[in-house]
Amino acid sequence: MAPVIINLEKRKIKKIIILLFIFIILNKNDAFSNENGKILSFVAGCYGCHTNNTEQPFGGGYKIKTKFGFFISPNISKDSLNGIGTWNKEDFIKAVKKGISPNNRPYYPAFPYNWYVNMSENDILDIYEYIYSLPAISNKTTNHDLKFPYNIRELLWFWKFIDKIVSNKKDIDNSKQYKRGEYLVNSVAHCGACHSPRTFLSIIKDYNNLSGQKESSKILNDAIPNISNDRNNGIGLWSNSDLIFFLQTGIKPNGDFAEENMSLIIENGTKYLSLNDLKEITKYILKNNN
Amino acid sequence: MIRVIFILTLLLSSFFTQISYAENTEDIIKYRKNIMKAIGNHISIIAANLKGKVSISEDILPHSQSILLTLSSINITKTFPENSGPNHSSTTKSLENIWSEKDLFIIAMKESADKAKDLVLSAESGDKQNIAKSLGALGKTCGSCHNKFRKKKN
Repeated sequence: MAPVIINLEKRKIKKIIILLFIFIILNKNDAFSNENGKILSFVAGCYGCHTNNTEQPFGGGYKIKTKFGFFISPNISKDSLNGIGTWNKEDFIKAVKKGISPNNRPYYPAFPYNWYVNMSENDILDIYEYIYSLPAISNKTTNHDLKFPYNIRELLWFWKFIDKIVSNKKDIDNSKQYKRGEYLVNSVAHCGACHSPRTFLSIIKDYNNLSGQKESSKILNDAIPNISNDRNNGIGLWSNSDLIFFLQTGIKPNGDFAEENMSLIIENGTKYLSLNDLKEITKYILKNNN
Repeated sequence: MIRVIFILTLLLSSFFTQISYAENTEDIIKYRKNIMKAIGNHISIIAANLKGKVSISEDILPHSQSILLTLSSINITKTFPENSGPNHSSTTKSLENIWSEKDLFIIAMKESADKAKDLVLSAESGDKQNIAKSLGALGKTCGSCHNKFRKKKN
């Protein structure tokens, strides 16, 4: 009898191992998806812009001072009353990629949907899943406090029309690995939202131009630096490791530290990127010129 | 005649006093800029090792100690005297609130010195990931101080 018992135990052990293996694989996939959503929600600035109180992630209320007035970020937690708890996945994708709310109202371009338009739906849905995995925050945010005529939201339809004519936005094929850096810079992390020159009506003419702004639309009292690979005016003299280290720690090659807004972007965003993604960003920005 | 000589002497002495005063102001501004540059250089040396640009990791500890020593020995009253703010010189990047909110400035400097202590501890352990974290945390306090008390770049 003894060998039979041993055989049965072996079978049981085999079953347990197989079940454990399946459990680990399934769990790993869930964790990966959630981790991707978490990282992207940080790098895309969702967390940074929609969190005023770290105890209330995505609860909104963050104030952005611009020359048009104050933008107050809305609550995007899953709260049904004050957040986006009633939105379905399609609503979320439409808002992120087109800048249009579920009840067809246009969003101000302080919300950088012009960059997110190139984000993959999978990535957007990972962010959605991540936000929905967190507790609902009941924080009720106030309306934007904008000067006339910027406070007339309907004028944004006209702005969107002009933007379409003036801009040279191009589609990024994010399925290709060699485009990963471009995808992260020109879509997810929307670096150009600050680092691209803006024309009249705050429209960005060239989405690939990272030559900075002489005067920020945000009231920062400082210019936004040129982060192109130009060796004289940009960061073309930085090495790949300089840029990676900067995006991880905020420390520049000369030992100085990132300015206020960039340090927040590093703290709440780029420092969470994997080394591989940071390398791709570096390759794209510096064009491997060193 | 004696009156004229007296007035001229007064005018001349006032003129030279102003020059020497201006020289002192510019000297102290240059002096403190050098202190900041020195700290920046130590940070760059540590960072070069962490980035793998050089492999002289035995330099990390002494340069971390140098940052701690430099930061904690800054005599704020002497290094940032009242007459060396933006109202007295156009070359300084210091903002007036260094003097109007001196207590906050002292706290900010102390925060940096505390983070430099952590950096030394990490450097002693030799763990590069910890060193990078501590260096980043120190850099953050430096940046926060610059954002509050240093003129923005144009």
